[in-house]
Amino acid sequence: MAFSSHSRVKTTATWPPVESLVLAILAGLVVLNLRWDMHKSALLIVAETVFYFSLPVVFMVWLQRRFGSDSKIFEQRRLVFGIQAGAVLFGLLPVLFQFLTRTFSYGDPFEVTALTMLMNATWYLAVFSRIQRFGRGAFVIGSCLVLFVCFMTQSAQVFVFAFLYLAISLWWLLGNYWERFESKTIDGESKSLPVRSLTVVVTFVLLVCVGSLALFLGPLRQAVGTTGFMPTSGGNSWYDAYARSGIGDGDMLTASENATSSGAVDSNQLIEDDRPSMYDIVSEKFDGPVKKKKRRNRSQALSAVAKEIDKVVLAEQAGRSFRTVREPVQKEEERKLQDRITKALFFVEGEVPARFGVDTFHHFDGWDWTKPDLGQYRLNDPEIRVEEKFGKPWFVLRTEKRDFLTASQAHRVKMMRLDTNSLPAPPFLKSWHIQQVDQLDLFKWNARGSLVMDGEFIPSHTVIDFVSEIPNHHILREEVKLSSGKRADSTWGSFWNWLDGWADSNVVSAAYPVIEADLDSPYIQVAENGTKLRLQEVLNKVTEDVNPGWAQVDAIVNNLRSNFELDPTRVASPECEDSVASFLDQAGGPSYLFATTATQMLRLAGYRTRLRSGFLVQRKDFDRVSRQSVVDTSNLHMWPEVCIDGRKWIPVEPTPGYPLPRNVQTFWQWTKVKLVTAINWAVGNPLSSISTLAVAFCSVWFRKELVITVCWLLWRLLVMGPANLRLRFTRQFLDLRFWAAGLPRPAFVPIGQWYSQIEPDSASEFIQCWHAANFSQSGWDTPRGQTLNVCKQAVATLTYRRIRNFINKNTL
Amino acid sequence: MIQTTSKIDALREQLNKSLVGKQDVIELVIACLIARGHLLFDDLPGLGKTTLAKALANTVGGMFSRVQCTPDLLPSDVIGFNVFDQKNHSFDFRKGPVFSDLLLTDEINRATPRTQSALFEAMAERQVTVDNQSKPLPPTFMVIATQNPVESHGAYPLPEAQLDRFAMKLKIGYPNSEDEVSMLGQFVGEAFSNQVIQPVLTLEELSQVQAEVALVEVCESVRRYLVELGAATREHASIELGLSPRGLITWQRVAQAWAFLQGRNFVIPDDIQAVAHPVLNLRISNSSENADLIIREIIESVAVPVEKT
Repeated sequence: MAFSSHSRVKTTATWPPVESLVLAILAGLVVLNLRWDMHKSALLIVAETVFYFSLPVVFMVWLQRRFGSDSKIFEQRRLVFGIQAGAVLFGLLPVLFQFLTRTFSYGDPFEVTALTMLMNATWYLAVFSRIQRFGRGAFVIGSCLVLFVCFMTQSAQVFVFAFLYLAISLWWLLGNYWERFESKTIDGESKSLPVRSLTVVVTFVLLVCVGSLALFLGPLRQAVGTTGFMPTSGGNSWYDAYARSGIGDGDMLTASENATSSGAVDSNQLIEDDRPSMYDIVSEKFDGPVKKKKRRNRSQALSAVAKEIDKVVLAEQAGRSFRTVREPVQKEEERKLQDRITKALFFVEGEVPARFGVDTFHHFDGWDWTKPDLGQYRLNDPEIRVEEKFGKPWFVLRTEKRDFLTASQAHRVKMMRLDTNSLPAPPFLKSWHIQQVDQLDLFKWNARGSLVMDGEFIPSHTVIDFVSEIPNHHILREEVKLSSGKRADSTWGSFWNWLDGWADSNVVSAAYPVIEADLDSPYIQVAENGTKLRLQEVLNKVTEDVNPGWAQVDAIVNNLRSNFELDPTRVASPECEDSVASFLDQAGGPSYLFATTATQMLRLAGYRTRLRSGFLVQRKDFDRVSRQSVVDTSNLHMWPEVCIDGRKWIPVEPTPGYPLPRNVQTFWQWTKVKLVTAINWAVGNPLSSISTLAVAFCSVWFRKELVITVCWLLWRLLVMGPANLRLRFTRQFLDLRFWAAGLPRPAFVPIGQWYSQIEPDSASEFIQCWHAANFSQSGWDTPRGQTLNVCKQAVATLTYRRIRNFINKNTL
Repeated sequence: MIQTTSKIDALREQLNKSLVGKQDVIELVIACLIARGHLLFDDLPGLGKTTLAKALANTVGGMFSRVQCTPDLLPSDVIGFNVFDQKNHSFDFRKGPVFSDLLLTDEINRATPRTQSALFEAMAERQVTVDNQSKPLPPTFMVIATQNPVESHGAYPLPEAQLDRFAMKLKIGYPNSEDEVSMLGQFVGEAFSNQVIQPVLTLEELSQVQAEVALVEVCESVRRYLVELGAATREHASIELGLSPRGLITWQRVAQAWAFLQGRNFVIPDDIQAVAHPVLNLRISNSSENADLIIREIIESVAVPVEKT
């Protein structure tokens, strides 16, 4: 093997082997990634890491200047003792740094500081790995470091670095222990690895197993896996702002007795009594509703309609309505994190963006959304059961298993100032858990199909773990027999249907839509006024070439997202008959008008739809230090939910700028969709696609010329540097030219011989300079300007074309 | 340095006159001379081995001796012997031909191993020991040996220990037709050989050149390259006995001389490769018939250093 020949020759330089440094740098990057995700200031941790990495290098340079650059200096016991003492001091440096940064509220959690210390130790030992056992020490500590970080994070970058670390370290191990291992296997005396390398190998196997476990367990791990693994605050009066978990390990219900133990929340403000109602929350987000309501014509011909109106009036009187004609929203002030925390409605741990629905509205009269009783149209509420999972009681919804729900996610919600008894639950809720609560009658479905907790509101500081499912839209389409794509009214139409069908292989070509048959259903009710006709026109235009089904839902939602503008100031006029008409006139408006219009259009198209109000938690709400998202009134949001299979409500997002509801797909599905999108784009933009193809083709065909040209430009830049670098870049560039021309220099041929075969005297001056610079111990005294000329002359002589001609001549 | 170069040029010119059309061989012979190595010519009869050896001896001022090796040649015929002086009642040492600045041992493989072994000490240590008394040889002492590879009757192959003491083995080979025409022209009208070769290099000057060659730099990367080549000879499947440390030192010295002849004061990997064939040919030719092929394989198995480490 190649590395065995290298290992035969022992170098005497003090600088460590490259692989040791690379491994230490990778371990450092793993830690940096973890800190990046958790620290307030990315700039500070990058600066800190650079400082840590440069310190041992500076120390090494100083040692070389003082004692010489031969590795024999490491045989001096006193010097090695000094270096060992330096390792201890350097390892402790992050602790000192914490004293400084925590003063300015920029500290790290305890375990991150510990990992930073290990990172420093790894780097220091790697830099001095010419000292006996230091290299192995760096390797073992670095491996442990990577292992720990894999335990603590779900960051994809960390796993990439970890696997890179694994690959290089395996190479390192083989390079160092192969000969020993090989000789033993050949002799037949022993076929086992040496003990030390065996230990390291076992470490790595463990690393891979744990890494894979962490990768595949997914979000559930976050809820149950790391609990208690690292220091947390809570459970007593001790409070640590840098503890890993603000929510804690389950103080939960008892936390209300001692609020200070539960996280980074100002306790005095928590126990205030002015908790906002949902109505107040809406007012704060969207400003107040217009008081004076214009008289509108209502159809009173049918008794059923009259009955419905009665219900609406009752609902309005009960305060369970939302008016879509409101005052323009006041400009939001920039809020600091601390302000948000003190006004937090609840905290969320887990994957964001995420939606937490609180309330639903069914009936729209042009101005107001109300939620009258659903009566016979109410969907069957799933049964609630209590089951024991992980030794704890979980409330589980007994729902029919649907194939399109392929993945799960976990969220932990800590209630703060949200004054409602409705559970702020994510879509496709599967189960939830509250510490020490197992009373089945505590939760129930209300008359409008919302899950509520017994009592007026859920007590603050209640911590609820939610497990919900994530849909796969590709399977969803198959399950409800919906098709996307254009109508098959022509050859091209058939082709598009085939293409889309290929991209979504589960689609049944003979698709039929599931459209609500009962026109009296509140889920397809549309305000009966002049706007309905306008809406129908828009709808016809949007769904003209689209098959009924999910494709139409997509088309309606996408039309709103792309053709209308989100503008909180474009509220509906108090003079308008219907806020949707005002929205259409202004081609935009606040988010609730998007949701309203989308709901109306979907209903008009025949899909059961309801308006859902709740909270949209986005990435910007995530607080790195406390590892949780802060939800306040600014997170209030409304969105439509479509029930396409008669069982599950599927959220859609018509408001531009807001993240789409989470959807998973397999890699194969993703690839096919991207491919079809690319083909669609190519056909839709023939000129651009031909140009792109031409550029791609030329890039491939002339790849070597391209590489040479780019490198030549690079050489022109670098050749202005110091003389030795200039020579080196020129030599590398010439080697590259020979390679590109198809005449790569074999490793055993000296450059002089290889270059001079083109022309005997070609680049002879450059070769002389190169030899003098690299093989003469007495140095090299060619003037700077002359070196530049020599390099330029060599590059001008040994051109790509000339090398190609030489090859052609010799081939013939 | 300039003076040295002119002397070397004169030496080169003189030798080229003696042996027409063999510039490359002559360059290696000069390299061997200034590297303080011993030279073995191994080729067919009549190709100019002895002519070149004699020309070299004559161009370098100093004492020249010649031994025509035969099976009945004794060690004492080479290194000398003690004779009892009846008049003084003591032993007088009669120096053999080895006490010279340049010793030509013609047809060395016709001498018995016993006689060949008499040269071991002289070649390696530049001294001889007779009756427990060591007698030093001149510092510029050099052995030029010739052997005929074809005739095996009454011939004794040189042992490895002997071969390792030579710096290089050269084959002269047939000249090309143009050079042969020119050579024949030189002998037209010449009844007796009256070519007189004037010395162009004194012994002092030769010593000075040899000292300068020893000062030629060999950087670490080149030394490491040399070591890897040596290791490759030891690991090669077709070679029974790889390069010895003495062989490595000789190779380095010859490469220094080669670099010196190229006008450089440092060795580059090209120099190592340039002298690889004559140096290695001597040490592996007993192992295999395809020495050239093996040497090429060895060179191709080791990456050449491009930059300093």
